[in-house]
Amino acid sequence: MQWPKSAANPVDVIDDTLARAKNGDQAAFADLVRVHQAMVFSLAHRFFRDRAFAEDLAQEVFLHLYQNLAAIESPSHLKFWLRKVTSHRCIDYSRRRKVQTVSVDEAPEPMSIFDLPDAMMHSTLRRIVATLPEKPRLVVTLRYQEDLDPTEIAKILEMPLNTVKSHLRRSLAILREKITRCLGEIEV
Amino acid sequence: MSRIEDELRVALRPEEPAPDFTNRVMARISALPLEREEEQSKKQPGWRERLAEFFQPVRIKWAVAGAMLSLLMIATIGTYRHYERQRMTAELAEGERAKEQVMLAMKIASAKLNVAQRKVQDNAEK
Repeated sequence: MQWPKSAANPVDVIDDTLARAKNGDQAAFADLVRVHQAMVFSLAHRFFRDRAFAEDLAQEVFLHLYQNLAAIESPSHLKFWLRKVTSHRCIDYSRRRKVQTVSVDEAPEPMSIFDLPDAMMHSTLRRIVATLPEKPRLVVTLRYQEDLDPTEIAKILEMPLNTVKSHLRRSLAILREKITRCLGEIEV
Repeated sequence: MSRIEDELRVALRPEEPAPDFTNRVMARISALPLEREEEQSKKQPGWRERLAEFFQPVRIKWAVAGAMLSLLMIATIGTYRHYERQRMTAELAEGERAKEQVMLAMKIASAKLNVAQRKVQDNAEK
């Protein structure tokens, strides 16, 4: 989303956009969607590995936001709300729908990470993240996609801080082990 | 910070949805008030509808069944209380009868004891 050049501080602009959206300005709400759609969509996409389904879920989240806009207090609260609602919906939807995870054991095994282009390395990483169980997958996505610290993740997912830390520790160990197995003997 | 964490940050960078995503969200939002009005009109019928609904055959059947059930319960409770009262009266009468029999037995025993005592006294005097 490109903000007007006259805007000195993007946070103030979002604050103003939020206020206008709360007053029923549809264009302002569309701006809010544009600003946050990548975050909401990517959280769902990392979780389900299905673009179409992730877009549907993201649309539902924004419709829900539209209906609950009055409860949003600030731009930071809006971000927190969107992350929380998206995360919880991912878990709810995955219980209703059998999530197809890709087995890394089925993936082809290249010789070394250094022979691989970055794109392949990152795509392998994304695929391995998708094989994690649902809660650790969300924890890893919030940690590395959204760059949140464990305390913020614990608040969003409503789980104890130590559980978040242990999910992160174990997930990183699993990822290291799997990527080593997938990509050959490398230091990661 | 380990290398895998750096790589994860890059691999999990947010990506944009389809270009028409915002328009699709806004289209659904535009359709929303209609959906909500329809839902609300379905959820909250007026008093006329509610009254008409009550007199629908299915509703009447349920109302009659409810009334019958209530009558049956009242009759059952009344009958039970009537029989309970009768049973208590019968028990009281039986108790009275037993009391009278005990009193009679005691009178007979007392008369016999008097006779025996008199005989003992007569023998002692002789």
